[in-house]
Amino acid sequence: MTYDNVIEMDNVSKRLGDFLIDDMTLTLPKGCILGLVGENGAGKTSTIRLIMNSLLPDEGQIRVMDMENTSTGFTDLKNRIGVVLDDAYFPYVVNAERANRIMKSAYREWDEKTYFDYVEKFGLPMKKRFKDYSRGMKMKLAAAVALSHKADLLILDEATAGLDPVMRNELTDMLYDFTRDENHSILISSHITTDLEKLCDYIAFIHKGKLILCEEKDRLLESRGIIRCGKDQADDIPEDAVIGSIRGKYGMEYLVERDKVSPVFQMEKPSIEDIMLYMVKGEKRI
Amino acid sequence: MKGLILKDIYCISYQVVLVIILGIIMVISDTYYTKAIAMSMAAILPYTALAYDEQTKWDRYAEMMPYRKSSIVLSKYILILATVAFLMILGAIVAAAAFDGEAAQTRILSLLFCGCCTIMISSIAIPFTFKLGTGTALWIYVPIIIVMAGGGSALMNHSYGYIMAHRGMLMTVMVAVTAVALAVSIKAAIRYYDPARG
Repeated sequence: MTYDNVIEMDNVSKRLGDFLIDDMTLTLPKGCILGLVGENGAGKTSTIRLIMNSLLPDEGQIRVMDMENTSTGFTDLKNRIGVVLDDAYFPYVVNAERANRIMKSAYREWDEKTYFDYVEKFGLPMKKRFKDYSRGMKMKLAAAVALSHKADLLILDEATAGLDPVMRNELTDMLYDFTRDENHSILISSHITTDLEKLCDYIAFIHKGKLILCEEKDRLLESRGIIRCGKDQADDIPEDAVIGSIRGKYGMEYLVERDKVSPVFQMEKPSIEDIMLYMVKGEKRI
Repeated sequence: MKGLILKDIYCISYQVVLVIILGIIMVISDTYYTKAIAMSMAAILPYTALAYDEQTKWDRYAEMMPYRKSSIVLSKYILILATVAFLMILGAIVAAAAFDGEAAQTRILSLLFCGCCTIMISSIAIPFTFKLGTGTALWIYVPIIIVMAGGGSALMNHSYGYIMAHRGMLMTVMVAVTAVALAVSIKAAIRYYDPARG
């Protein structure tokens, strides 16, 4: 089966109590890495649960690998989706060996050799019980499981939160290896934007259940700029160029669209974190 | 489903061994008291497995795996059915080997009665456990166990003659009622095990 997009969300809405995922349209092209960024409680996990059919949308439809996720075949399709959540929710009495036996029966294409290669590579003890694992070890085990059943799509939900930089770097390297195959794709959600900046081809920014933007990362960062200036100079910045502004340490700071602003202005390249900050905290004009 | 059952066995292995030991004691001693204890411990196995799932938030991970909701629910029922079947087979073998004719038959029927009661307890309580969580469901499990275990013992004490005279018919009815209760319970539990879908 050929498809261009691994994930397609079309006008998806879902009410969860007071919170609303509102008219979300999102696409992950095959072979790409999409970073889902947003502050805590923005709706990243809910979006992932909608994609995995753990939540039913009120409106809209979702297709994963060209299959509607509400179809009866989607459960079988999950064999090709590896998931790493913000914590590894394995039973406490499970160890690496037992996890292998459980997962062997769960996933049709379970590759025992690959799994144990990862376990050895990550230095995970075979007999140590899950309840005695450190946070890093838990994520390593979860990653080993996710990468050992010939998945075409990896979904990581806040998988790097709480990890030290060394472990985050190891995880990033693993994800790079995964995407060497052009048929492999990754959806990674995080509020640690530095990880996403290194890894992702596309960035989707969610704020209070709404998708604010979904763009190619390089284009997103190249097309925006930060201007730091006084009030006088600020008056020369076109109104429609300003995405957000905040009062900085030494004056005003504006996130602008570069092509709408005179090149006379000295502009700094923003990071994803900057863009998120200006869009969430910033006002249109101060 | 094999993986789910294996996961549950790993979690509750000590309780399973305890139930087997109690089952052996139940068969050898053949008192209502030991039957009630063994029955209660067996009936609570799915509850214990669900409690472990809740403790580790396993469901959050399981919903990402290639398991249907029905498989996750059925795995808990298979746990109790397999335990009851094992105890009944074990008991039947011991009864047939150790006793003759009427005595062996009485013990086997008694085992069948206990097995049905155990399945009935689980059939009533498991859907509530999926719906309400293990903390609240305990308030349902305990009264049911008291009623079934205590009531069963009281019934045997008071109506032993009548029961023995009509044992064939009564057991057939009991098995039929248990089968219906089980079917209804499974359907309800599958329905209740979808709370997040809204």
